Amino acid sequence: MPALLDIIDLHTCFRTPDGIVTAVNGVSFAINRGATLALVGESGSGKSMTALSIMRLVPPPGFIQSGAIRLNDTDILALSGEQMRAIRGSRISMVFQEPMTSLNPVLRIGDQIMEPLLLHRNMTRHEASEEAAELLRRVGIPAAGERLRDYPHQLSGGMRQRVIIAMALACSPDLLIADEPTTALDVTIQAQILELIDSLRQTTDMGILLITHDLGIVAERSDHTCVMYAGRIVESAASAELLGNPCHPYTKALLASLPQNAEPGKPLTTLAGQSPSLSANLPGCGFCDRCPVAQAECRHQVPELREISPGHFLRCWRHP
Amino acid sequence: MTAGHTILGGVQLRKQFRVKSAPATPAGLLTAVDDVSLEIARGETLGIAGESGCGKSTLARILSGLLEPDNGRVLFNGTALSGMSRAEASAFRRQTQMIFQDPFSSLNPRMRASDIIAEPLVIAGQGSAASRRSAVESIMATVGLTPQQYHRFPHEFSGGQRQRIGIARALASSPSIIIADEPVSSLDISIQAQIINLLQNMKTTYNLSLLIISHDLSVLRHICDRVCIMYLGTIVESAPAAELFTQCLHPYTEALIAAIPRINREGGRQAAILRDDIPSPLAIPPGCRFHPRCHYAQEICRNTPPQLEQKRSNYFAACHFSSSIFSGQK
Repeated sequence: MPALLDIIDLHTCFRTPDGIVTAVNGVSFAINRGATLALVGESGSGKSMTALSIMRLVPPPGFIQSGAIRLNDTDILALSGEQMRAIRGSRISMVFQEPMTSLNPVLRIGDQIMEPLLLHRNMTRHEASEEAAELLRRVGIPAAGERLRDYPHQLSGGMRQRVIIAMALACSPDLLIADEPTTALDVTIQAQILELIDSLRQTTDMGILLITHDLGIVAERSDHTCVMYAGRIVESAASAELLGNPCHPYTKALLASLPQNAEPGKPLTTLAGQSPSLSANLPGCGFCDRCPVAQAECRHQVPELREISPGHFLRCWRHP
Repeated sequence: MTAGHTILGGVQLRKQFRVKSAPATPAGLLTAVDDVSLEIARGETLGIAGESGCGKSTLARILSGLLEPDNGRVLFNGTALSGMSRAEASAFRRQTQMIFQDPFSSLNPRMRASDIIAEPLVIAGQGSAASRRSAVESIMATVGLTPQQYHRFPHEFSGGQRQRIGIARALASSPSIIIADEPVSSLDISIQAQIINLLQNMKTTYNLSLLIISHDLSVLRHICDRVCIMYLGTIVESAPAAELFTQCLHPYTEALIAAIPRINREGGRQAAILRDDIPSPLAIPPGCRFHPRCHYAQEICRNTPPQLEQKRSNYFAACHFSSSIFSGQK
């Protein structure tokens, strides 16, 4: 059975006054039905741009330069704008980080949830309104029928994120892209929302692309993990394997720098410096300036992503 | 770290805000901090944790003198803030510095890094321009900024570097205590570790006391000697950091710890996920404030608020049933 989503050698670039900057540089991965793939990396590593490329919502001056994105074997990069609109919000939905800004503040939440139902499922207003209440119940909002008439500001952050998830699920998407869905929430609410997304995945068999910087969330909620650095995937493996046996110096450093992995009071292992500016278009490995084991070859040529053990891929010259 | 005498303390602090009527919120009194007492010993790192809206930032602002409490007193080296002379108050402000969460909005975008760091010295009227310059240069070096960055503006720095400027500014007036409100929560993991280490180093080098507000319990566990857990304006548990994380005595703390996503979780989640949101501080539940969300709540919890009591040596918790709920622990 082919994968639900298959991304092959995606390049997403930006035209800037200093030339073309490659934000997503040859990214490939696949997500199966019912599986969760986590995309990890620091700000500017290209994870959100990968997500926006899948939605074909890369903001100008950005553009998808090359590659293929197949959803159920359809190359969505070849679709017309109109065909893409039929997919967005219907076959692929997205949940954003900011529950405060991703709802329209002047529309009742009921109208916002009904929008995809009216657009993609050709329901009457009455049917859509009943379906919207049902969706709110499914995401755990009490007194759902009355809540439809509320405006976003009347809800707490956690409740708003539930509303956004309800909207994303309105057309039973095949793929849900969740871009840092809980970063703005408290840990207790975060646990509720992640639990909700997980249980919906199990009941609907949708695939999930989960973008996060929290390795704890990766461990608890994902099957497979891709680590991105400076626009490239540097390591990719089943999540348990990746966290238990990290091989890229960047992945190792990330895990080592976590307070929960350190002895209280002792200095944390840190990674010197910061991620490189993408406009520099460095010839070698993007991580070489911060890498504790970098050698001359790392500066001259980008390492290939190669399989070091079954299912575990690594982009590093220094691994034996 | 010898726990010396108390440098900064609060006695029965309370702060309420009057809320105007709005479509979503009825008018009323919002109780942000309710009868909170705490002490920070010289050289100690105290952490305060809790969900958003629990009053932790309000408490930090009261302790730093930025907000006046409605009730209760803030004591600095044993002297009440409200009764201080001008000279004493000015010394208090010099010795108590704050670091803020957002390194993008807490630095004036029109000031150069050097001017931002020197400002506390200028305000305190300390030194000549030349001596201030050398002071700023040496502070910049200690926090890991280079001399080339002396004249730069905030937008020329990354988030982590800006947080270093914020720390340098706080250190400029040689404080004895620094209050940091979510100092690392807006930073990437690898940068977060750098800033945590820097705070630790500064604390040892300058013999500082630290009050760290954070919602990230693993950060607090790492750097704090003692942690207070706040819920709806009150402290529900106050304990040595290591003990709190291994043998807590309050159901809320238990739920908070269980909610942290872990890389290595042995034997599954310890406690169930907490239901619902934190209740509105405009309508605080009677009895124990936590009872509507508590899995262990019984009749007495609905009526009688538990007091913060000493449960073990140096360990305080406010729960009627902590001994029976957590008796199975070692």
